[in-house]
Amino acid sequence: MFRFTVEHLGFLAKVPGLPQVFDALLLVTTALRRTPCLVAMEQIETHLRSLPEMRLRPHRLGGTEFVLAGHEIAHLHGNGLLDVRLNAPERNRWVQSGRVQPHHVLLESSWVSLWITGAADVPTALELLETAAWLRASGFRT
Amino acid sequence: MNRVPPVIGAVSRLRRFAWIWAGVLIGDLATAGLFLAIKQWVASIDGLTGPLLSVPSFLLVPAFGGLVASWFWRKLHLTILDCLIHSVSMTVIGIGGAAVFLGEGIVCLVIVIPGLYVILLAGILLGRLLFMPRDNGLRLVMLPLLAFVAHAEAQLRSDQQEAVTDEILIHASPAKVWPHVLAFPRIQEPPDYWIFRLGLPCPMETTNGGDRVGADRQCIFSDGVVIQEQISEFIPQERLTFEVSEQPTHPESYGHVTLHRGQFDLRDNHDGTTTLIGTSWYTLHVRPLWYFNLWTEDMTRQVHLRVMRHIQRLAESSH
Repeated sequence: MFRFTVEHLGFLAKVPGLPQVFDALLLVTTALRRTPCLVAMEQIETHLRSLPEMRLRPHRLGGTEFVLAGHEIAHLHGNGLLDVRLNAPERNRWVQSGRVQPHHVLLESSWVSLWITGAADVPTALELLETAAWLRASGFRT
Repeated sequence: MNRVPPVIGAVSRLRRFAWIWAGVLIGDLATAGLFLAIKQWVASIDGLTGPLLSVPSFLLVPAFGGLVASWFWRKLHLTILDCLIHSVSMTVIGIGGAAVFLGEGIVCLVIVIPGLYVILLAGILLGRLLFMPRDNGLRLVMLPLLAFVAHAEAQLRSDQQEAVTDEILIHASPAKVWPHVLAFPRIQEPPDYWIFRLGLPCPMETTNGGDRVGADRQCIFSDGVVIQEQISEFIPQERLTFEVSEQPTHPESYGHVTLHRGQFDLRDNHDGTTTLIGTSWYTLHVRPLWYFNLWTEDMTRQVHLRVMRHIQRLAESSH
């Protein structure tokens, strides 16, 4: 459903509020069918909320956006898809390691995607987010 | 001397519990208040009366209620799971309120629950992030925006007829099937469709006032519901069309849907079997149309199938 919506119904994302409703639907599905994923999402979000510099805000395409120094470094969708912004060398390193995939839509960009399925993915997600935060804090441009 | 530490945790938990329930109630009250205010306002401008379950009232108003609740909870640092759970509380209380104060039937409410829950959740999740302690201004600008959208939607909406068609193969000739299409005795089988079991009236019997155009017929449902019909097309062993002359006054349907006509087509397959095709036409008055029509189509289909399977049994047993 997510892939079909992203590929064919992406234009609906311009309707205010609709991506948030869609993401809520994804979240309900995750809660009902993939509880370990929901638990892992909670752990990631709780960790990020505890960081004093990190801000959370609604993502324009639904989900939670993680913002550092006014810049988005990542967002987490209701189905457990974590999209993280790196720079080109880090992106290539992470993708080549096989731990993450190229961004699910912007394949050639410096974004990467990680599907959260359960607690085992939390360390990878936090390491990935730390890398993104370090890149942002160091002033690296993507 | 040892001092007994104050039970700060217990008090906090109690306060948190009270705060959460206050948020649930205030969110639901905000939803109900805004729904009624918009309904009243649209009625005063457009002259629309009766239930107004429109796109704004179904989508935006509950989301607003969710936002209000999450503003109330902004210092509680709700987790995603908290939001999922409190959306359930808000949905249950909101639905209970609609049953008590708006007199909605159980089937209508069951239909509304999934959509309402997701929209409330979306509002709560959005508000949870928008109203984090650094940013706690409630976007009151949304109120006039909601009112404008409600007005625009009521102006732009155009009712359209929907039709649902089903067919069934009967191992009997059209001559054997036709009498049971005109009228059939009481269906003894209990309904197996879950919404019928919840209280939606299900078809039980059909009476026929004459074999001609203009004759009255009655489709009798459970719960004392009777749909008065008048035959508008009568082609023996081929087609029976009837117009609904009196709408049912049951809380599950009243004001939400207008039934127009029904039709049975008999197609002779020339191998001793008949394909019976049943069609119903109706207009829904609630929005979003795609959401409510999903349910209405399914329920109409179950009405068709209950009647057509009964006709099948009668025709095949008299074969």
